[in-house]
Amino acid sequence: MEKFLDIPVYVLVTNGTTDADGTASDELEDSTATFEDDGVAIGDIVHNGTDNTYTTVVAVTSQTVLEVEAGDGLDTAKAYFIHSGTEAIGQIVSAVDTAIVEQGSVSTTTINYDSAVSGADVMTITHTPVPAGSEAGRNTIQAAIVSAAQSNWKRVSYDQVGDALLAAQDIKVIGISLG
Amino acid sequence: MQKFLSIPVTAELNQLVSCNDIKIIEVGDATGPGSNPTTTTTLYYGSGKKVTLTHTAITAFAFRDFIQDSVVQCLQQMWHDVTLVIPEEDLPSAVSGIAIA
Repeated sequence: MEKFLDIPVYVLVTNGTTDADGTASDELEDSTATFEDDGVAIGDIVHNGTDNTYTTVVAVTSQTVLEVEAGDGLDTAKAYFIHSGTEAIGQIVSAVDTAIVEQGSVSTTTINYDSAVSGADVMTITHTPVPAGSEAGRNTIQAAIVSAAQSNWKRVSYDQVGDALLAAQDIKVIGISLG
Repeated sequence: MQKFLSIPVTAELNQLVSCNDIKIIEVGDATGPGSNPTTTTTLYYGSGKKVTLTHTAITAFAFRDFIQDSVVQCLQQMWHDVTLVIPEEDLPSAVSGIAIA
């Protein structure tokens, strides 16, 4: 019987590369950006892809400058990805044939399928970080898989996982990939 | 239990696409989500097979969401309703081809 988790993925608003040092001023600066036109808003998620760190937008200072959380300013030449803090689109991922769920890192949770096929056996869910040592992402996905399996056969898609992730550690998913 | 989407393809009538063993559905073609994201949508199966639908350009995620909803609806049908026939007028954009890799 097929079962899926319907996971809200917070949409990408814009991305680019910083071209000035904002570490002292708690800022993200990109002279080519158009943050206001793009609709960047307070509370949006900032993912520094170069260092794999996360922060949030505290203020949209101008088209090219964002204020982020204290101590989280980005240095120059950092690839950044800004995701909405409120708008998400549901993506369904298989909840059957699961071998194990792992907290891969503070910002990834993996669903490892019982499959011998490389490339189709690991679903990586990338999310805002949980505290070091926490298994909140894993625990929440595990519980959702169990709930999905327990649900009526006509409930093919289990859609409570987004609320559960927020309740666990304010976890917001920004990407899902199979590989 | 086998379930299929019956998808109208331009000038080809309908083609069946399996709803079983799907792991994820992504925008983009079989090379990855970043490739042709507005004109292709790919279903990834547990077997490693990938079925790519090529369609007219559409806002990102709109076609993927339609296919996701259709797969869920198909799987909710009674066992003897093996196919979910998608009317051509319900497609958010016309499908011009379906390929497996």
